[in-house]
Amino acid sequence: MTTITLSGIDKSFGAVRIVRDLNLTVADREFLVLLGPSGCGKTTTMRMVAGLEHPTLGEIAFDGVRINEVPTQRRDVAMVFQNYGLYPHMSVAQNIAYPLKLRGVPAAERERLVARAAERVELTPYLARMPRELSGGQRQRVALARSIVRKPRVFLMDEPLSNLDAKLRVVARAQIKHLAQELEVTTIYVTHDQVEAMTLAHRVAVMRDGVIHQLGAPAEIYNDPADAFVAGFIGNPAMNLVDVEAEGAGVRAEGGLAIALAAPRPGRLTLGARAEDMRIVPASEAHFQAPVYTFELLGEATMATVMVGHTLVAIKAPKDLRLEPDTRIGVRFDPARLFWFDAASGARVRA
Amino acid sequence: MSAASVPGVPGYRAGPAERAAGWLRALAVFVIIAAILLPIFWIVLTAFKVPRDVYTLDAALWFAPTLENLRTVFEHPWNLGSKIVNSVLVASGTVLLAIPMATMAAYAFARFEFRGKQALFLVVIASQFIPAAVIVLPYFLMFKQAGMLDTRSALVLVNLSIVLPYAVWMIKGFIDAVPVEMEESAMVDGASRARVITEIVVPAALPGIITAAVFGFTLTWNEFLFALIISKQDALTLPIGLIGFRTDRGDLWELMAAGGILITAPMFVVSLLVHRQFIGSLTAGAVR
Repeated sequence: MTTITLSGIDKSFGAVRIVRDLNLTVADREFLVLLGPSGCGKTTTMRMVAGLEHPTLGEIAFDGVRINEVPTQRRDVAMVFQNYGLYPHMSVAQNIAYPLKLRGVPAAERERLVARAAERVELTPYLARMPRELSGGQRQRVALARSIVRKPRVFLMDEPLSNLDAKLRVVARAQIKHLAQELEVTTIYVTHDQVEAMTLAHRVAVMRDGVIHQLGAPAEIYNDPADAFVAGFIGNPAMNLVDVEAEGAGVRAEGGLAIALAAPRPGRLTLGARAEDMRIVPASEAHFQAPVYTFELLGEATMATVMVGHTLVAIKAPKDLRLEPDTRIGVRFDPARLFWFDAASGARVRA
Repeated sequence: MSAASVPGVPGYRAGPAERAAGWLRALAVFVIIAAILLPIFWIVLTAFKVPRDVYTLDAALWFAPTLENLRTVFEHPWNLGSKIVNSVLVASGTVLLAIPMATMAAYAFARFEFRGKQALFLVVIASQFIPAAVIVLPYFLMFKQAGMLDTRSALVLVNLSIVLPYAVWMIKGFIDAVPVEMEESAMVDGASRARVITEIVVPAALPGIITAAVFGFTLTWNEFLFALIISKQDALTLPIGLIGFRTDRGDLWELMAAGGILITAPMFVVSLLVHRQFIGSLTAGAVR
């Protein structure tokens, strides 16, 4: 039952400004994902909420009450660390029970809560083990169990899945989503993986260089990116971004390839389109033509890649299509799913 | 190289050069072990000899053993009993004071950022490079002023100054190896700094702390120069007790050897007890 408010937060380490004038409100029971490349300030922002770092400027508040000066141990937050931060000299049960022990919960009650938390993350058979006797996935679940054994005001998760292998990550992701829905605790989740962000979040804050580039629901961020950075960061494969120059009725890519699309304004622009919003068509209907660079089978679809100027452009195609390299193909954009950005600033240029 | 000459591969046979190298290695190991163990072996033998046998090579290895020496050293005028008590009190007192202090200092050096940290740490370490002979006189004068000459407390203080820097340095190394995330996660779980240190950091760095304790105990137990200058009669420790066996009637080697056993034996037992811990601590952090 906690709303987190960050107002005017600045954080510098020495001369390096990691977070710049950040303003963000995380609603009660919201699952907010901080998404961005490494070094974008997302982890630092979360650590400030935990009290492990202190903002150089600005105010952090829980439910409107300033907590800048409240030390970590009194903020009543729970956190899952990237490397889990388990206590190697304690058994799994003792690890999970530690937050309760610190709060003076009686032993019997402690045991009951630990058993329940362990059951939730399917750790019951491992309670007597030591952390070093567990696999990576099991350790991650111990960290998770330790954070849910009590009901904290705020959940913080710092790339909790990044040390798991790809298969396990999918399972653990589903588990976290399920837990979050069940627990209904305000959550901040940090990741550089846009798939995690898209699947888990109520809202995503896309960060770069200490600044939030866009804040919105996953669909909003995917369908209506605020700038070229967000467009290129979200989606798999990433949105195709081609630098073009408006010329006559159409545009021309670097290297001279003409594309039959009307630019919203003259000058240098970046054209953005997702692989699934482009089609391979006969030359007569095409916006441009280019030889196939590579052709890949994905299973449920195929992916043709062509070179436009100096940029590779991926086009999703039906699964039964087969193309040889160097075959000349025509490509058509979905005009409704086309994005223009200022080539210099990356800002969205709306038609 | 042919496949057959790869060590560990079935069918591998060492060539003459490799075999010679193997023998040389074995010989080198043997020489080193002999150099370390022979004197101890000799002391142990001497401790069980009657004075007549000490000075003759005929009885070097074959002699009628006696427990007389081990009894004599506890009698007047040698009284090694009281010296053992002093040694035990001084060494354990030093360790009991040094280890908590060193752990706290090491934690501060490992985790906190403060002005002059590097310089201060350097000074702590560098204090060990001052030759004991240089500071023994100032110590003597200070303790004389304070009326603490020939007291066990004075010896504990002196030994603290020797043991603390080593202990701080050693323990800091182990705390450095404790992941900060462990501490942060304890703080998030609700632990105060004090509880983080006692419940998380100390257990995690325990091998290092025990190592430092054993090392400190050994240093103090064997300390000679300061004990010689500061103690006179009441606070005499075992190593000083040993020089008593150099009398004007000559050196009483068999008694000195018996005293030597009394000095060495506890260290032997301690090192056996902590052996596993010790080895563990030396390799800690080498692998995850």
